Amino acid sequence: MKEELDSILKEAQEVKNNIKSLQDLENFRIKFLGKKGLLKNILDKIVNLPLEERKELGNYFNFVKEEVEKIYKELREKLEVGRFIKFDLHHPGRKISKGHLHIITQSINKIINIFSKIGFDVELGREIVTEYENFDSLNIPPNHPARDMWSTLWIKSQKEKLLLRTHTSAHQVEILKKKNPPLKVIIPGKVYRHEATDARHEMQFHQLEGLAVGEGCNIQELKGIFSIFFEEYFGKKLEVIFRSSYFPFTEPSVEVDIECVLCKGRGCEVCKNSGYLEVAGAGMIHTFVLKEAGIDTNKYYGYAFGLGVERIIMLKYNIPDIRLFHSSDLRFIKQF
Amino acid sequence: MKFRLKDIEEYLEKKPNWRQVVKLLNKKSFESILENGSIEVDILPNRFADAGNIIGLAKEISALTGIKFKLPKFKFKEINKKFSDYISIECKTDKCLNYFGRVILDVKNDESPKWLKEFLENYGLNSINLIVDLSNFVMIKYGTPLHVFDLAKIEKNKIIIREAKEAEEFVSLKGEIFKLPKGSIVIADSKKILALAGIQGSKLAEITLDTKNIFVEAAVFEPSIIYKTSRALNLQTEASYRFERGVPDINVLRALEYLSYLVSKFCKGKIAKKYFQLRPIEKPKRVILRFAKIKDYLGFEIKSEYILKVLKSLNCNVIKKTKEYIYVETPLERLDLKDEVDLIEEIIRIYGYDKVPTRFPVIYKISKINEFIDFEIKIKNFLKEIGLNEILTYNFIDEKDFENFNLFINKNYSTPIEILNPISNLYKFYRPFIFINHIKTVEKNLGYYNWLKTKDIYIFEVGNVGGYVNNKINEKKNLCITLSSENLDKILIDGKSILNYIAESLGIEKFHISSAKLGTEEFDLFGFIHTEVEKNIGFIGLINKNILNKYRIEQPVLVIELSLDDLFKYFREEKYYQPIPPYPAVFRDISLIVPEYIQSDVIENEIYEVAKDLLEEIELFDIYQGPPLKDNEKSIAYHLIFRSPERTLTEEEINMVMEKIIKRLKEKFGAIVR
Repeated sequence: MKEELDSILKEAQEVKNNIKSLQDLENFRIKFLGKKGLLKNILDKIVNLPLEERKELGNYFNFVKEEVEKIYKELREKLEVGRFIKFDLHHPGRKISKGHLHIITQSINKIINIFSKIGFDVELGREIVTEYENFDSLNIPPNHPARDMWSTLWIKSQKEKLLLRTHTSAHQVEILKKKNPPLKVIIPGKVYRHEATDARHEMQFHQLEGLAVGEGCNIQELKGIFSIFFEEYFGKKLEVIFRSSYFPFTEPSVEVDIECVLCKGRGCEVCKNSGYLEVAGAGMIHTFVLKEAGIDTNKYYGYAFGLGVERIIMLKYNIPDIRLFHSSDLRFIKQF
Repeated sequence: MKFRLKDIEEYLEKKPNWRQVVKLLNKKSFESILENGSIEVDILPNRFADAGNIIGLAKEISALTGIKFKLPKFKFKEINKKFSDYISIECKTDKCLNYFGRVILDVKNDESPKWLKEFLENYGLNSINLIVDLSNFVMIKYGTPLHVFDLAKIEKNKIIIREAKEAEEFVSLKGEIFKLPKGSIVIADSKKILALAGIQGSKLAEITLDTKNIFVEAAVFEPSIIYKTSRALNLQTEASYRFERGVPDINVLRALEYLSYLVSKFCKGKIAKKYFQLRPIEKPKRVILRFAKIKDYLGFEIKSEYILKVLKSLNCNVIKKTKEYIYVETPLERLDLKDEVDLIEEIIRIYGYDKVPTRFPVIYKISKINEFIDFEIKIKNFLKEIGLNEILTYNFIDEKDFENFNLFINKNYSTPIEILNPISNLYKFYRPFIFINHIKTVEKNLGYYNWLKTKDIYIFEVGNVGGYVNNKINEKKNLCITLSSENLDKILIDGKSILNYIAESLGIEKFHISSAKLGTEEFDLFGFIHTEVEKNIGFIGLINKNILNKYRIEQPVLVIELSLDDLFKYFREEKYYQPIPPYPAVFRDISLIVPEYIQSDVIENEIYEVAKDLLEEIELFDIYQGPPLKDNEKSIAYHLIFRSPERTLTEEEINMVMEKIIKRLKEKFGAIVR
């Protein structure tokens, strides 16, 4: 009879894999575990055996029964799952609202990352600065026409004259004094202008100041810095062109152009058919500024540059109107 | 400035290829474009003195192209009588840097000929009469404003150059009366002001067609004084524009001689002998130009022969040349060439920036992370991760905003920061808080941007704010989170949840709300936010309904504004491993009915005190007010988690603690356990 039990277990294990539906399973149950099933059949026989044998076979019977029940339970669990979860995987799902960082934050982070790879630290400054910081310290004396290059928002104050910084250059002397050369620093920040706004002009925008003093900080390197930066930022190699220019706090001064990011120099609407885009102002830090910061101009020299953050974002993402950045229009914010 | 090509060609030995010239100018000097027969040149401010005129621009083109510059010669005769027989000049101010003058007699003034009228029209000037027009003709050619006086109108034939007294009156050419600021330079006689120096002549000494004898003035004035006076009076003229940017005295003298020649030629004037001269012509500046310095600036060497060639093309006079340096005199009209670096710029720009190769930067050291910026980026990312949108608003508020939040602003600052010259009244004050801008953002996004499918606006901004505190500007960086929805409970609970989330993300144990208040002028609900260290670092507030009405917002707006500078102080980034508790925790809930006014954190503190070290965590999970409770009651429920680091806690132990807690809460607050 032990053999019979063995063959029942063996059969149960063999047919297991053929059971594909709940109907199959029910047949399995009836065959093995039913009231007139194989196991019940054997049990009836065992009951009639003498005590000693009954005890021994009874144990084995229980083991086999448990094994078969286990198989039955496993199969039922497997087959019933599909019966209770009624979900169409083609359902579109619920929209999880995603947060967005402002494109300016994202871009400044990216810019900081690029410059930190080539050895630049990051500094910050206040937005309300003195007339000295914004102008006089940068070789822009009072009552000089050079001041007209920056239309200024002045602040009502009783003591010294205060203003909203018109450029991040306002921190040059402060930082040159604070850090000893050699140094390489960028200063990102909001700047303000007394300007009528239109698609290309804003009263409030972001600048990135660069400042480097030490051996090797020359025009050749300055060109290299721009070349690396724009390649990293725009993701493609772009020719950098310097044009002679004038800023009171750099000498020599240059206007920095890059090949048009859209047409690569062939001429298009964005670059007004010139093939080039004006993207920055730069130059060698004027000896006046270095002296103002107490730096020995016989020993040290360096370069500085200023970049319009919105300008390069507009070029990269094809944004037509600079006023969108401060519009707080969520339709704009959520695009980036 | 726009020049006719033929006017420039007069001063060049050969007609240049203008397309080529424009290319060179763009790269090496000034932005410029050709347009039918003219060249529009954007002369840089530091070069206006020498290049903002026909002759100067011709010299620049000569230096760039190598085409020789030529100055046509002219000659005139002087009569025997000396200028000093007709005029005397006294200078009482050192703000007149130099002064020359000639007397021309028996002039026949007339209408200008066609060629002259055409010339002036091209340069945007009106024709007045022959003498005045000739003087403008010379100004365009030499860049030097000259002034011609009617000798008969000068009292006692004596000119006094002096500084104006406070509010002294000047009659302009148009006959307007200006009250001069003290210190303006005037050309006067004993009775009246004849001209506002460097800006405009007076009607009272004006040249007319009847004018017989004239005095021609050629002068240089302190540029900053001209700038100041012209801005103060809002009187900007062709003359003031030039004097502000500097005028070389050598050019002034050259121009005087040329104008005298022209007046003698076209007006048949007789030129009196000699001219008045206040001071000797300024000496040329001498500069040492070191080859090593050029190499420092450029990154590589340029041959000394090439450098010499450039200097010569710029009319620099080489005094000495050694192996290390060149000693040069810079041309008198180049006011911008004062120092070594100025010459370095000349060498490099003529050499050509396009020939400078790029080089990989020298890296001195690994760049340091700016911890504040890092923190700022982190906190922005935390907020973005939970679905908030970062916005940027203008850092200004208008008068109405200020009125609406007047009381609140005045509690925080002694005075707001006011803009002296705002672009418009919308931008009158530097913002004292960010949240005011956010109310407008909510308005705009619900209103005319009018696009939202849901009315939930969850935004944040990091930016600077400020105001005066004890007479000093206090500028700081704030973080503002604004939640608006039609569902009030949702934004209140989300607001508190976001605060907890920020605290947890920053490693701050918890934010506490102190002096929570109902109903102020500005807020329907308000509380200050502080940390364990008790410092006030911001606030949470539900904007008052009446104020929201003013912004046409019909749904609640909750604002949270925190000082980012303060948060930074509590930011703990270092993390150390804490052992994972080896013993199991015991969980219990407790639900109480307490008087309404009792704050949750007070109850929590009491529970902590009783349970001491055994209580690991307490979490409020329900607050209820309403029937069947009495009006002044609320029900409040907590999850409590007990755990000991040393052993497994027994049921009996916890039961005892719970009893103690219940007893204490009953005594302290009259709490009823449900």
